[in-house]
Parts: sequence; structure tokens; C-alpha cells
Amino acid sequence: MARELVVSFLYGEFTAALVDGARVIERWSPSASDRAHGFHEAAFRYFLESAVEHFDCAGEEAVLVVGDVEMEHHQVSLPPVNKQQRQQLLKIESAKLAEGRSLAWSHLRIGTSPVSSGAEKGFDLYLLHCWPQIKLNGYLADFTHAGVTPRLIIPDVTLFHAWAMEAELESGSFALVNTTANGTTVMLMDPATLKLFVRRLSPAIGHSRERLPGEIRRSLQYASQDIGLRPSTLVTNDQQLAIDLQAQLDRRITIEIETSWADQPVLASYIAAFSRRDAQSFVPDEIRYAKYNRIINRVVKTGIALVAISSVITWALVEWSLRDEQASLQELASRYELRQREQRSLLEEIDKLRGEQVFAEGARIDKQMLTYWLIRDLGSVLPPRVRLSAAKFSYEDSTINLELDAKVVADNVQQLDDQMSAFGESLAAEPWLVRWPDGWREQWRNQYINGRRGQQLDLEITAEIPR
Amino acid sequence: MATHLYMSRQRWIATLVLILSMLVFWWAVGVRLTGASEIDRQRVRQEALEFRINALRGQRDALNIAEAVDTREQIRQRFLVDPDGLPGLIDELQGLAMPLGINVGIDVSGSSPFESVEGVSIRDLTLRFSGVNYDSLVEFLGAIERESRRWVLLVRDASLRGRGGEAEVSGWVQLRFWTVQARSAEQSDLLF
Repeated sequence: MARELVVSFLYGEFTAALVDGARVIERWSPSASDRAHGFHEAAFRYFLESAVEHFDCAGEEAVLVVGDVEMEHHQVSLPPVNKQQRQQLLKIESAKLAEGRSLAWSHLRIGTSPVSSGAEKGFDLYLLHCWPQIKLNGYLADFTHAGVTPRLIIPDVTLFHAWAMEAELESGSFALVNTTANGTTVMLMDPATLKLFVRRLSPAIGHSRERLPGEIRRSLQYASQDIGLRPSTLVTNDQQLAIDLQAQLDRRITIEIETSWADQPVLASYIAAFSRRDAQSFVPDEIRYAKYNRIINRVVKTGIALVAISSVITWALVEWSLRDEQASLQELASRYELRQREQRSLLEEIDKLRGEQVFAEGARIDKQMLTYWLIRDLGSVLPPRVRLSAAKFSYEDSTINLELDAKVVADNVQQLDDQMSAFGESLAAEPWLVRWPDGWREQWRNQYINGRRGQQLDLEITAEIPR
Repeated sequence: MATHLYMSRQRWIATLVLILSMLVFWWAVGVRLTGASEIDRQRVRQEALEFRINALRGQRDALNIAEAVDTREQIRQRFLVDPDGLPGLIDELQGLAMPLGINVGIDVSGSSPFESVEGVSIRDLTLRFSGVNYDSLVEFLGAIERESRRWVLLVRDASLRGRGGEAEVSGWVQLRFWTVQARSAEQSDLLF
């Protein structure tokens, strides 16, 4: 983890530390001459400037732990809701406490209410901190002036709570008393029942050092009687106060002296506590996430630049690759349509020409005279005893179907059979090229073989002549 | 480490506008490139069409070589001799039959368009005869077929039958006669 500037400003007492995670690298407090400016809020700006200068961390982020008499702390229980609803409910709770003031608020989830507590079971308990907005704005302005960004601004109570969790004091109820020159914070807590009582004691409001033990005793009595908080342990950072308290408090209460909450474990714990999703510091989101916002700014700006440059380059490349493209799709389409018409007219022309050609070829004069030639020569090739009685010609496209009826006197069947075979073969040869049906000899023979000798018979002959 | 990313409303709007403008830009580039590829595809189609047209021109030229043109010209001339020459043909057929002692009855069908060639129509003629000498009939048929030098005609069917007498034949012959109607020799675009 990178080093970070942590500043505590508890009731006017300024302490700065450079930490690296849980380890304190260096501490810095105002010198005696610096303290001449006084322990009040007006001196914060000067102290912060000095600390920033001392640690040379201008432009970086810083964390502020603040203790202020005007800060209020309330325990709030909310039903389990999502983050947005939780923010709304806490905002309403803070508005209830505002009483006409403008309050900034932050919260820390301290747990889920147990069965024995007063709140409804399963409700989440939050510590709601309210602070006048004008005070927060003053601190934010001081940070801006010093040139550092506040990452977290949290109250000291949260710090102590985090310390208590870290110190594993949750086995029983306990009291923390933190004393500084300008004020004392008393926090009574019972982690088991999640009961919490916080009181501030300050010379500015009449709690002088002599009165502290008595005020603390009264606070313990009040907590015991009114909210049932009876701490068995009291932890304080002030040795003299511990001695003074011993005489006044109940003997069952053990008093311990501890200073580590201002040391590294506390810092690490509170940082962890406020990194959780269910906690929020006083720093507005726009400042809290200013660093990320700046990164996003850079990313967005770089993105815009890259997109713009790549767009221009891409567009230029596209236009350059299309620089010779002059024709539009409409022109090409109309040209295509014209050529399609030409194609159609050509097809029609070819169709007509082809039809004409086929017709002209078919009607050539040298293909005529077929009937004349057929009828004239047929008589001369017939056997002498066969007389043609009827002929029928059916003209097909490529053939002529021929049906002949003939009469014959069958006195010598063998001779007739020979003559008819010779007739058939002569017609099957050039130039006739007649195609007889299959088995034509048997067909003919069957016609005259059954007739009686010397009787006139009818012959039917069919054939196909190519044209 | 940030638990969530904070962005102001203006930043969100700027990001949205940036994304939208990127989408619009690439859409525009896509449209431009699609248009260009469409033009390219159209050009390829045009080239393919030109190729087909050239092939068709080749086919047309092949039909217009001198020999084919001469063949078609011959039949044109035969049509042009006597456009729609049906009355003349019938007279001619009767004239051929008379010297041969053949009485011919001629039935003429109505004119119907010829499917293969535009502008040409066909008529079927049936020549009926009976008691005709075989040799005269053969000569008559030969004369009919010789007439196809002048007219475009063809013997389609024939049915001849002897009727018992010496070499006497009766029957019918069917002719198909191609003609053009309402045309004259002066018309250059007579048929085709």
C-alpha cells in the first residue's frame, strides 16, 4: 500500500502521521511556536499546510480523523435494504435530527441487531454521525487550500469503535475515555447487545479537568440506569485520570491505560472499516472519488481523441480506397436495365431467326416430291402377283407412316414367301430405307399361310419411311 | 481501492454521447463500405451480362451467315411470289387435274397462325377424288409436288384405295399450305 497522510484533529489538537498501511512511518505535531496560533479550528489550515509541507505530499490524498463538540452520534436500526434505499433512509434519519440546520452525515454499520436487543430482529444497526455542513465545508476548503485531497473524513468515535473491534473487547461491555488537552470523549459500548453511549466533555463547555472524574462517573451511572450499559472495563489514555477515577468508580470496574488507539492498529482498522461498502465518510463522492474521476477524465479524453483520430484515419482510408469510384448505384442499375432490355431483344431476335431458319430448312425444295416418288416407284417393286388395293400415308415430322393393303392369289406359298421377303429386303435397302416392324416376315407369312391354295388373300403391310 | 466508481451525471452523458457517436460513425462507415461493395457487385453483374450479350450476338451472327440467309431468302421469295396465293393455288390444282381427266374436290380449312414463324399462317387443303387411273394419279401427285417450287406446300397425308376397277383409285390427299396475308413485295420487312 502506498504511504498516506493521516491527520487527527481532536478538539483542536492537531497530529499528523505518514502511514503505510498499519505502520506509522513518521509523526508530526505542531511545534510550540506553531501552537501559538491556538487550539482552534482557525489554526487547522495553517497546521495542515505545515504538515503537507513537512511530508512533501502536496497533490496527494489525506485522511482526517476529527473530534468536534458539534458532531452528533446516533444509533439507527434499519431493515435490510439495498444501498440506494439505505442512503435514502439514513438521509431521512439525518433530516429528522437537523432541526433546521444543514447537516452533513456519515454512517458506519456496526452489526445486525440480536434477539435480545430493543431493535427488531434482523435489522441492521448503524452509527449515524451528523455534522453541520458549514463546518465540513470549512475543512474541505482547508484541504483544497493545502493542495491535498481528503480521502476520508471520519469522527473519532468511529476510530474508537474500530479500535475496540480490533482489540477484541467485544466479550463484555467496556468504556473508552480518550483525553486530550481540549476535550475528552467517553464511549460506552456493549458489542453483544450493540448498545452504545457517547459523551463529549470539553473545557469549552464547562468540563474542566478537575471535573472530569465526576462527569465520567455520572456518565457511567446514567448509562447503567437508563440504557442498561454496565461496563466492566474502562480503558483510558490518561494515567492521572485513571488514578483519579479509581477512587470514584465501582470496584468491579477494571481500569486500564492504553494509548494504542492513536497508533497503527487503529489506523489500519478504521481504514479497513471505511473501505467497506456499508460505511461512508463525510467526504462527498465527487471529492472522495476525484482521483478515479480524474483517471476516468483522462480515459474519456484519450478515448475521445483516439476515436476522433481513428475515425478521421478510417474515414480517410475508406475515401482514399474509394477515390476512383465515380459511378453511383442508380447509374449502374439503369445501365444494367438497358443492357437487360438489349439482351431480351437479342433473345427475341434469335428466337425469330432460328424459327425462320428451321422453317426455311424444312421447306427446301429438294425435300419435296416424296409422295410422287413413293407412289410411282412402289408399284414397280411389288411382286408381280401382289396388287396394291389401298395406301395410306401419314406424315410425321421426320417419318412417313405407311399402311398398305394388297391382294394376292396364293397358289404357291413358298414362292410367294420368297418374293415377299425379297420385296421387304429391297425396301429396307437404299434408297427406300424402310423400317419394317419387328418380326415382319412372320407377320406377313401368318397372313397368307393360313389361306387356302388358289384363293385371293388380303395383305396388310405397315412400315415407317424416314423423310 | 474504490468500492464503487463515481461518475458525475455530465460524465455519464458525455460517455453515452461518445459511445453513441462511435456507433453512428461505424454505422456510417459500414453504410459507405456496403454501398461500395454493392456498386462492385453490380459491376460484376454488368460484366457477366455483357458477356452473355456478346455470346448472344455471336449466336445471332451465326444465324446470319450467307448460307443461312440465302436459305431464308429463298423461302421469302416463294412467299413473295404470290402472298396469300390460295385462289391461285386452287386454280392451279384444278388446272393440273383437268388434262389428266381427274375430277378433284378441294376442301380448304380456315387460316391459322403458324407457331414457329411469326407472320406466317397455314391452311390445310384436302383433295378428294375417285375412279382415277393410277398412272394419272401418280402424275397428278407429282405435278402437285412440283408446284411447291412456287408455293410453300407439303403433302401431309394421303389415303388411296382401289375400287375394284382396273387400276382405278379413289381417296384423298391432304396438303398443308403456308402463306402470308396482306403482304406485298414492296414491303422490305415482309416476314422477319
